Amino acid sequence: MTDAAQTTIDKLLRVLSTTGAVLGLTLLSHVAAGVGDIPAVIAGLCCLGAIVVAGFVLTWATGDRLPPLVWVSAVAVAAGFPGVPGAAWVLDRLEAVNFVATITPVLAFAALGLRQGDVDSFRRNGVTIAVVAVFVFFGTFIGSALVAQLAIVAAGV
Amino acid sequence: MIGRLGAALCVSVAAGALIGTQRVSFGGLTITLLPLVFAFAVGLLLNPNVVAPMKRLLPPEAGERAASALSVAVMPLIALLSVYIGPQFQNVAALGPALVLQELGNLGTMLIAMPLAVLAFGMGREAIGATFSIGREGGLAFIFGKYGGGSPEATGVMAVYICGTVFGVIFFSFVPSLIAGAGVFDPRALAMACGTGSASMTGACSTTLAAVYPGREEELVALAASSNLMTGLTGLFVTIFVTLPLAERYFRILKRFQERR
Repeated sequence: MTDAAQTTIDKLLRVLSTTGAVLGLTLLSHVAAGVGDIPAVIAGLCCLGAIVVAGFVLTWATGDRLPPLVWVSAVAVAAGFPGVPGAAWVLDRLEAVNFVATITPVLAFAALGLRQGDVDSFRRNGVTIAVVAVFVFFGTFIGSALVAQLAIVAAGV
Repeated sequence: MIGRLGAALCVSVAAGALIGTQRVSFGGLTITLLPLVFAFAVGLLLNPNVVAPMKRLLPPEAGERAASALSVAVMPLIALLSVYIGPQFQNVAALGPALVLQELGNLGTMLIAMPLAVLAFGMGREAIGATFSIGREGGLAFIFGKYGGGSPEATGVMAVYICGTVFGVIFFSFVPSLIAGAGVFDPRALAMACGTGSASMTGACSTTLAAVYPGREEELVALAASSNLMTGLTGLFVTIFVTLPLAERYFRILKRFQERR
């Protein structure tokens, strides 16, 4: 087997195992929160898994020119677009999946994924840079919200 | 180690889900706290790199594994948010001009944050890297490529990147709920503002908004996902041709102003 094929298989295995783990945690999050009908949730999560894997495969197949975020998003848009064969079925399956229950595991990964280096440089940089960062995040949000608000009002929609 | 990391993830998720959604009011303002906030808090308490005694339960290398998994772990959420763009296409298309224009709203990052960095904190060219964008992976790669790894600009973007890693998602689950509570903005404008180009921040922001406006979940997440997709597609282009040249100029103006005082 060539090195390139081996690398692709390694990447695929990594995506499959991580996606599987996240979907398992997402199921746990539905069960613990008591939201949704569990067999229906499982079917919905399988659909999400298929979309994610397809997105990564397309990212690699196109030579990593665009980030996986764009491809996963694009596949998901296509999978739910009115008129696309099977879109109604996909939307039906995903109806059972709860937004809040789906994001909860992401934050568990984020919190447990803080490395010693991250924590050290956060402490070393001190309060100054944290305050700047708060303004950066706030600026991004409020800047976009203001422009969007003006555009909505101007268009009268 | 995988088993222990898995157990820690399960405990964080289950704790978050069991605590559930809480609404906290103070001085007429209501903040909606979703389970994700509690899952994050419990995860921090279990992280041996944050709470040292946890080293007995979880090896510090577990952090490496969870961190490298995060960029994949956020994708099912992105898929779920994006799937509603199709059914909501009429609502999204009606706001097409607003969606395109609000990309320029990302300049607000620099307009607000750079004066603070330069004038209040006396930062040098680090301020350019720190405030030209929200400073996630794309911005990091771009600054490292343009200015080089050891440059002040790279130091700046790295510092904000670390802050984003530590509290970015939590920030984006508090602020939209606070701003929405003020009632000044159209919820659709806030939803579009959620599309920052960072998957986990967009997810936290839009699910929080959806919880604040029950009954409009699908419309709001579809707008956030559209905006995020647009930032993902145009972000680098806007950075190269608009944001960074403006950041350089803005920095010089601020420096001149500072020297005159």
